[in-house]
Amino acid sequence: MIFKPFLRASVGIAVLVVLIALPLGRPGSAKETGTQVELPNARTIVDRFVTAMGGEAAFARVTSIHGVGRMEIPQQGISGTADLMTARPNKSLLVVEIAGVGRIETGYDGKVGWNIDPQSGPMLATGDELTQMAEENWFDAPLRPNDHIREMATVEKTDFDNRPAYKIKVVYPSGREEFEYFDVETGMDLGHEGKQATHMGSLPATEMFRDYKLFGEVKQATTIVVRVLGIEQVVHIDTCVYNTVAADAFDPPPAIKALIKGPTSQ
Amino acid sequence: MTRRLVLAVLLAAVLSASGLSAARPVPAPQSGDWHVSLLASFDDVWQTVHDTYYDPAFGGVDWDAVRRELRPAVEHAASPAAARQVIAEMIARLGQSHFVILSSVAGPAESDTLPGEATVPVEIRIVDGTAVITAIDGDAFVTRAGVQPGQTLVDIDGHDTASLIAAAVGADARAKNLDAWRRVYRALHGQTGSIVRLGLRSPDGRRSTVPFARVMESGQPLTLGNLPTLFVRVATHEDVTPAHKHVGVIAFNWWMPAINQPIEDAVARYRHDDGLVIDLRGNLGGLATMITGIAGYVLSEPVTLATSHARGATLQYIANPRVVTAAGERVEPFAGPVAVLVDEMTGSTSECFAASLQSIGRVRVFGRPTMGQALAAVTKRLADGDVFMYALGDFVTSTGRRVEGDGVTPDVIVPLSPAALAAGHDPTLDAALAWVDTARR
Repeated sequence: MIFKPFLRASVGIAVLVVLIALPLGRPGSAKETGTQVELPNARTIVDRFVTAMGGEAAFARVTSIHGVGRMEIPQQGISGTADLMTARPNKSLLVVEIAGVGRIETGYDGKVGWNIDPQSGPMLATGDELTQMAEENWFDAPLRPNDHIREMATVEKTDFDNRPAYKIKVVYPSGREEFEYFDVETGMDLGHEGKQATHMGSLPATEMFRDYKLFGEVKQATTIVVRVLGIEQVVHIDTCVYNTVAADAFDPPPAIKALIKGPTSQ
Repeated sequence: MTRRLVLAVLLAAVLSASGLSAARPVPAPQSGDWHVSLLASFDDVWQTVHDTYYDPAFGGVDWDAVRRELRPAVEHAASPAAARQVIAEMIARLGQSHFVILSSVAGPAESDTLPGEATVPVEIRIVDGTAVITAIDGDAFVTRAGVQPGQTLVDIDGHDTASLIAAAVGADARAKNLDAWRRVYRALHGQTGSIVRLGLRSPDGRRSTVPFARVMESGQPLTLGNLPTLFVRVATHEDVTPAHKHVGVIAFNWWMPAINQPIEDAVARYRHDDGLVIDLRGNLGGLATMITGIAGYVLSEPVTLATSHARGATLQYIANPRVVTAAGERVEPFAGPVAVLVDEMTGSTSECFAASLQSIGRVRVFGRPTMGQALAAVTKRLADGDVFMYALGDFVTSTGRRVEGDGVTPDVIVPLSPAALAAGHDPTLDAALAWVDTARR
């Protein structure tokens, strides 16, 4: 997203972060040969990305995003439509419709996270899943505000998704850790690796952002690839508009409202 | 967020289905050299197993050695069929269900695509080397044509079914039984309207030959990804026990999302009945995570049903109590006694469901032991157009029971009786109904 700005949970520089500039000679660090090169600190890398995507001021003028596209799991021959909305400060609604499966929705209204799919039925997110939803849905996540991460540090220069990349370790307030990758040449966010909490447990996942395009004043990744359990799923964003999402778009559907309300006395 | 969404979709696509032999057809690869595409398929299958097989030790199989041994056989195969046979042999070395090549091309009669989508709408079970008709799917015209439950299907267009069954192969008796069933199932299929002559024998020994014009399988046609078209049916009715108690009966043949609303409607109708019967006989499986939603119709707490151990991850199947309707009405899951009916053609997701609820004591299972083919799987289209179904993880109930290989042993075993079927009885359902009379609500 919807993209990338929205995908990312609140990533920023925590006040207490110790930014470590790792020497190239460190095992597992940058692959460049020759003399050691000091790595940029995480804040510098993030700031460079923010500038590359359009700048903080431009992003601040965006209050909501609505992306429409397609999603597919190529190896399984599965495809469908994708409709993604997000709004300040931390709301989201994502809907996919797939032939043979039906409509799958997941939403977060700033407090309540929920899922509806034709297999398991309507359910509220709880525990780690809800915590992660709250962390991921912060609208300003691309800016990595200090108050939404615990710590962040550059790890190494490496390759990610066939691009030279700076690798940053991010620790969220919940303690969850992720590795983020930024393009050495363009500065753009290339993706990240981490664990995704779901109602079926925590799964390791890799997400890759490709094909950035300028919508209005802000660039968005228009191809998003997620790899889980060795399977790739792809979202293609065809259109993306800003500041058009209605305020009630994130109201939970009736089944979720009934779950929130809970049993009532007869 | 996108990641969360696609995870949901991935989980939606994890399936556990047995008995499939064909994939959704796609145009043949353009490459003129079938060696190239089949070698690519061989490599893809090997690599996929190498990277994703849930047991990093491959169950004791030296997977690298398997590749070294078999790849030359594909390189030197005399025909595409021979090369495909080598790929099938490779995955057979794992000795697990749900590692299957779903063919996209016509091939040997015993293993590949169906000769047509139309069929004779009957349920078949293999009993002592014979094919017994256990039920008629739907329309009375089949019965009027002279086809009845309890009859043995002796021949199809003059081809002896006993020979078809005798030719079945499989690593064990259950796998062999499935292969035998698949061969008879295939023989019943053909083009819509094509006439098939069925040689039948009644339990009393009477022989008859019935001409029958094949019809499209009943149900909602549903296509999901690489899978062939599945015809999804949900049948519900209210039955009465010997003590005149009312019992809702819900039968369905695939675990696909299309079953959800009819089942929700049925549970609403039968919510206050004295018992509920879920009939999974002949249900070969489907989308694995559906068990969490359907179990939620009979469980009021988010109970852990089972766990699937995949490479680097563990998937938990947790029941989602269905306490609201889509319209937002609060409801209660069914609280009374629940019976689940199974037989030798109950497979995969159906076994997972039955085993999970049996393990926690929520249901009593009636019928005959199930297939023992229960792994969480996905599909992948190969370079030659075939589809590789492969397991991502095993399936273990919350009490530690592994369903793969063992299957579900019913609490009450009810042998198949052609004579009882011919007399209009359903002994398995009858046993479940009688139990409801004694069960504590």
